[in-house]
Amino acid sequence: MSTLALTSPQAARRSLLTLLANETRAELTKALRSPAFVLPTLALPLAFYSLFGIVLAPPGGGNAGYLLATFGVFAGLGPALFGFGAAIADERARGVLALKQVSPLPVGVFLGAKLATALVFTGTVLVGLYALAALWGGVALPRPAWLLLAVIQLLGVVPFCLLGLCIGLGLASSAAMGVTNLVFMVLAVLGGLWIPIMLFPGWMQAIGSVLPTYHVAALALQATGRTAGTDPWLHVAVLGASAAIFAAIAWRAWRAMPR
Amino acid sequence: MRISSKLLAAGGLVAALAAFFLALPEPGDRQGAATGGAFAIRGARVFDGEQVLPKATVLVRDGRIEAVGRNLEIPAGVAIIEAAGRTLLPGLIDSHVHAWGSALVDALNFGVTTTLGMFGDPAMLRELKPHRESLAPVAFADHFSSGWLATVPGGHGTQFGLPVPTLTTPAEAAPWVEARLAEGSDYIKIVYEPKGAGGLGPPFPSLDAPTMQALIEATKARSRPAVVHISRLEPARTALEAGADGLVHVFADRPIDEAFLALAVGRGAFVTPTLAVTASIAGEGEGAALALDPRVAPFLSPDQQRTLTQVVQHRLAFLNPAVGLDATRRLAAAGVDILAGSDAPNPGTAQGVSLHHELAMLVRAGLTPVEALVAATSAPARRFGLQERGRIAPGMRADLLLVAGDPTTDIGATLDIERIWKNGAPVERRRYTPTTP
Amino acid sequence: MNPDDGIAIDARDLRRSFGRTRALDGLSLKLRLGHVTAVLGPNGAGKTTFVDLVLGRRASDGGQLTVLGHRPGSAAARLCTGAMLQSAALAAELTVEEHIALHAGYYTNAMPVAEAIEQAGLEALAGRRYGRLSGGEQRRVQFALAICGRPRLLVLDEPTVALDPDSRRAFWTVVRERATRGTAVLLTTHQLEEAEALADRIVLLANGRLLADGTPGEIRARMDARRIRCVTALAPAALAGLPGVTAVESSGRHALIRSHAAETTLRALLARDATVAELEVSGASLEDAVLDLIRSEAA
Repeated sequence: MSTLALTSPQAARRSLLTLLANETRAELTKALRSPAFVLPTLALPLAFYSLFGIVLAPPGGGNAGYLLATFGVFAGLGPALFGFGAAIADERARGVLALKQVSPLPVGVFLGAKLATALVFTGTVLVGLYALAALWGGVALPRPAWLLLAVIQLLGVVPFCLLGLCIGLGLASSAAMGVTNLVFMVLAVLGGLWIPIMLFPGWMQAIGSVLPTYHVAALALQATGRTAGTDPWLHVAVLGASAAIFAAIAWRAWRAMPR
Repeated sequence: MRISSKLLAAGGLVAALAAFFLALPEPGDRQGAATGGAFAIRGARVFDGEQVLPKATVLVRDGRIEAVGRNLEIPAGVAIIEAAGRTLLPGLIDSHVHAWGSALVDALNFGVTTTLGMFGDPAMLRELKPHRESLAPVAFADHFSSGWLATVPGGHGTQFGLPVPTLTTPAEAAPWVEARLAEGSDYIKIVYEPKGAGGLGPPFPSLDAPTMQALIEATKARSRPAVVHISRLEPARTALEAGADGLVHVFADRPIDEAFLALAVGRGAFVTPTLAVTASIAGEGEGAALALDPRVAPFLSPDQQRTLTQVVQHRLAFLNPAVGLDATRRLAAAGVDILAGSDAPNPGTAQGVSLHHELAMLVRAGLTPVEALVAATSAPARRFGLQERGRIAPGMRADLLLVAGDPTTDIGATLDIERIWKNGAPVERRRYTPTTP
Repeated sequence: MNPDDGIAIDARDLRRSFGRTRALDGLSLKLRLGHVTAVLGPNGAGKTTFVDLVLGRRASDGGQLTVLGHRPGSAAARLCTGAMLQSAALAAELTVEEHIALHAGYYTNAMPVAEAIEQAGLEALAGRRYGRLSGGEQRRVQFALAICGRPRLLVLDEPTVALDPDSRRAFWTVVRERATRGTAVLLTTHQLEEAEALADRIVLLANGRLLADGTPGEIRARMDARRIRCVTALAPAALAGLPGVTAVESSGRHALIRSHAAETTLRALLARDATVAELEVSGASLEDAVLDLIRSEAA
């Protein structure tokens, strides 16, 4: 990096990056100092995967590979929904959000730090999941497939973050925790993250097939070479549309909020 | 200084992540080393996949058969398994299965060491491929597969809710085959069930003959076997005329005729009759009785127990098992390669155990016990190009089955299983608590 | 508007309604740099709405408002504003120092973290987690966040509610010092004592309008009201005619008389009615004073 290149727009951009890094570090510090929250978030997907994908799965049955795709999506669901939904509702109720809003911290950095935190958590769980899958699940994928899977499972948290933002900005903090838990369970179970959606009765499949979790999982499954036959761009389009809808709702809630 | 140490930390993190990704296994990676041990099986009657050696010794080392001979000298320090009075067979090959769940574990539990999938999830196949190339001990049978099958929208194979890629026209055939091979399919399976005269036939649509032909040609252009699912004589004839390498069922609607025999012989086609499942679908299954056999019952997993005793709900009236048996006998007599396939886990069949049933059915049809054993060992290995399998000979993979009696004269003895080896490692047979008293 | 003209907040004819309630009804006000301005008024007078508009948390319905020459709530305005809100329960898991360092990082001209800690009197608590602080200590951390960016406008919304008297006096010293260095301080409070101790200027709001505006001395003179409570034979109309009386109410047997010249009123009352009993004289609360002011304005 040349010092001459540090013209003012670049310096401004760099300071934004520093802000983002500081804010993210503070978010991570907060999370790591409340193990009651962070341990289940990190350990639950790993424990479930070990149990259903490895211990209880028949060898050679392919469960380890299938569940790697879906549990990797599950890994991001918790940090996204709870980090944005319950946490922001709580910060709103405690007046912290108001203090951040009147401070010079750009709102993009505030949300970006939340996203980065969700990504760090998700990434950490993914590393654990991939290691379990490779060491004990017998899962082997072409290198581009491993990378594509990681990219899908990381980017897949974005719609869930926006959904969490809707909950966090739109609901009272007393309601937000319960609603977040409910949404979390519905998205995980009906979206087919624990049990393949094909095993559900038709009406449950119909519900599941409109959930964003189902579509992220479908992309992840395709990345590992499963369930060809649906157009991946269809899933991308559904996810893009749902992200846009969630963003619009969150934006409305933000505007309507008695800050 | 602070910046550079931060950069260093970030770089370290990126490098660690990159290293992690590079360490993740790829399908081609060798999985573990073979067992270092060597052992000899001495004095058994050996069916080597083609013929019977009345009394021979087989030396196994590092997962492979090193030598076979009547008076083989066993090197010092090699463990010896005395097997006089017993029969040693190559691990059995089931030429028609549908594998999911615990299928391959269940198959191996009955001495089936290699399975040929005729419709299944290609991702599962890709995951399993490294294992079949490795000599490391495994607790499940090796698997080859067609992956998906070729059928029309709404046709046979689409009724299970799986995302089967379908096609309808000859123009789609070559890209379809390319897509399957890219997915990892070892061969191509085509469903051909056209409506017959008077609307006879199964109640679902089918590929037409030109599309079937285009599929077969595209497959052969890639030097892979093309096999066809039929259930009736005339579609079977059309399939062989179109150049199919084999039929994965025998027809059971009308008696075989001389023209068909001549066609099958002339084309060098093989047939996997799947007589056991045909009987079951026609309402004459014997699965429930087999499930009570004391040689079978303790080794049935819950899945096997369930599928073996399952009774088909809508039996297909046009199927006559006797017609299938007769066709099988005449095809075998004419020199057509017969392969043993169970079509498990269709109702009335179960992984592994139903291949033994199929061998008995082949003998019932008129094959000799040795011919039946060939149909489950060297014949499928030859027809599907399976290296190192289906024979007991130097260099072959040490997939072995030791049974108490003499199945070369009494085919039912294949179920008197004493020991199973996969990749030269002994397989601990799984016993299950019976679910019904 | 150039911020160098010494004006920190320039409000002109500011209006904001909530439903049918007019929270701000044409308020015009200028706050100067280097001055501490206390905004007083009863609940519902429009103090909180005014603070919210200044901080950009709400938009006005009409009128003009600039903060140091910028649009309220804009990035530029926020960069030179520090605020201490009425309620803010910061993250319990972070330490005092971490909170201040994080917040100081938002500003381009922040003071060293140690300086903010010292000014808020938190030296002994720098390494302690926020969740383990007492209510008053937490309030001091919030104050440190408000000043750490060396803001040119410091907004303090009911800042000393949870503070003990010593902390409050120390806090006043620091606020005064910031004003001396040119910071404009906007203070809302219910405590006349605090306004008197801190403010260069007191602004009284009622019903969304400017009621009084002056130095503490000027306001004090206008607020020097007393309340007389007694049993008397005189009719309310007669009581209202006594010298100095601004308002008369009755409460059961008792008459409540407000006066801005209590001694004169008492002399006149006792001279006219020898039967006066249960006599009580008390200082008016700020609320009463403001109400009196409102009534005298309306008269």
